[in-house]
Amino acid sequence: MSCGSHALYQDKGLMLMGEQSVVAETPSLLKVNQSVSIMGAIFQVYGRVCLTYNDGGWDEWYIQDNNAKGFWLSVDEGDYILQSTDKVELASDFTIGLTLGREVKQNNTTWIVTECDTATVCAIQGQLPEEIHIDESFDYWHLSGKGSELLTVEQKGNDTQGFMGQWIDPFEIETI
Amino acid sequence: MNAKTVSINCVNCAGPLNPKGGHKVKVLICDYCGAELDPHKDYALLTQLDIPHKSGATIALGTQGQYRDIAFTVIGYIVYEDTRYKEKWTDYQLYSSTHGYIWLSVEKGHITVSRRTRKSVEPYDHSRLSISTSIRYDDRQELQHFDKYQQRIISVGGELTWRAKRGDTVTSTTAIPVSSDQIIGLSSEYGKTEIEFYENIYPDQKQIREDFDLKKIEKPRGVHPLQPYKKGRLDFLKEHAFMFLMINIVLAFLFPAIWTGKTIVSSTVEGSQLSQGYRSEPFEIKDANKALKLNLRNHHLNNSWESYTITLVPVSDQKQSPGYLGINLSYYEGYDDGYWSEGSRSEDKTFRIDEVGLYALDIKLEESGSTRNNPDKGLEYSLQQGSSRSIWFFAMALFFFFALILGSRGAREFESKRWDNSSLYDDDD
Repeated sequence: MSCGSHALYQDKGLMLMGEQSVVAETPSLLKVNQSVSIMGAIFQVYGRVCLTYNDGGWDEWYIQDNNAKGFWLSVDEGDYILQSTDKVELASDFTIGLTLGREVKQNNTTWIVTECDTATVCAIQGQLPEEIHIDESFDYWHLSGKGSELLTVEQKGNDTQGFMGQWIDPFEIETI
Repeated sequence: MNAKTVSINCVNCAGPLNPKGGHKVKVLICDYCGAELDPHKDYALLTQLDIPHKSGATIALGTQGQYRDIAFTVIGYIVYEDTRYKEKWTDYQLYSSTHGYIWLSVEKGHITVSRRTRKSVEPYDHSRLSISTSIRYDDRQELQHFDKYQQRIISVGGELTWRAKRGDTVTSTTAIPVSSDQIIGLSSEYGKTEIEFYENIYPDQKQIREDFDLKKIEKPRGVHPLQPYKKGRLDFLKEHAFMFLMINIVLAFLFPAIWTGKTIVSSTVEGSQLSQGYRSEPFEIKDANKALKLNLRNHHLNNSWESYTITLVPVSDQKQSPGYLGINLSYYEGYDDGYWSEGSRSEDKTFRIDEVGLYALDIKLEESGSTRNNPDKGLEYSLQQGSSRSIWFFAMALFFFFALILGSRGAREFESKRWDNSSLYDDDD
């Protein structure tokens, strides 16, 4: 489902933190307030952020493991990325010259830029660990590391932050 | 629910279309007229086909099936032609709302499944690799660079996640497993904003045909580069042929020494008796079906030779002798840049008889390389029945030797065929 479609509607009565909207249910391995198994580990799903980029969109699901540690699970039509909510310290000029295919050293790891685009928040659902506003936009870069490791860099104005994560095979995700 | 159920009409020819893909679909090609429509702009006309459209899909759009227990729907297809060999194949794009997009490729009846992968690939750029260069995938799988080739788009239809245009060429590279017992390969394509790798799997052909009801797909021809070597019924023998070969060779030498059979008669003849002729005590042979083994042994033979004639003599008059045997003993030894020896002080002869009864052995020394009149230089003889014969073990060893040769040849030929179409463009191409 595209977040910009008519299936979305705003419901200010549900606002718990900033703007929120109710998102029409679509086929998904995740649902807010349910549990999900990712590579054998159990997580609780708390919230969801819908974002758009170019002509499409993806969902960021806020989940917590059994130790109440928070993660973002990014889901874009079969592409799943599990990322820690812990932010990686990056230099303010980290994104300068960060073009596709470029190799970058960070935390003793060599990363390769494999994707870059701009995303816009279009809907929010459930509980989230931080304040997120509808229509806010940011640039993002995906940098692939060793194995299925991924470093996502987000830049909003002068604020640059990174998140460590890894690609997840959708065949290793099961609803509970 | 797996795919959305939306019906629209082509803005060019009004043909009914049922898009079932997700938002990553970039283009919908009308399967009636070939017009390209933009799903993100209310299916507005992108391009009108200037040549008659001819569908190249054997699998109908909308076909549903299971892959790894997940429902997928066929939403589009691209027919490619290899610019070198002019061979064609069709990539079908499949969609699952939970598991995204996969490709089902049909080439010469072989079906492979491809999925986008983000696992690590080293080296990353395959565009200038030499053939067979090692590629490490997912930090654990060893692959070899197989090919770099250009594929021309011949025909497109349905929904696609990238705007494939007829006549365009795409440069791809492929890597295949080092060993044919693995089924995962890798291919890469270079996009405008992303380098894309795809994990290619050669699934169980019977299963995937059943899961998607692919009755119209031809039977596989030749060997696919990702095809695993299929073991036959005799492969257990082939795989263990070397072990069986060694076992039989060992048994061929060991078994006769251990299993000597039943001794019918044995004794020692004094040397002085041999030149005149010696007759043994009568003995009874009760079984005519089993082979008899006669052994002569002279422990004292040294740097000389002896030639004996042994006759099996029936004790009862009405029988005729089954015949005679000639046995030569020869043994030499010495020092010539070290100790050496040749020949043997002991020899066996195996024979059969037609009739049971009482017999005696006549042993006569016909000739020798030295005088044999020392009584101490006795000749030992024995006649045994039921002893094992090495020939069967040698025959089995021979069988396993050929199994070893043929078995490894079959695997080698299969491996060679896997690499048949591997070649690289010159840098100038």
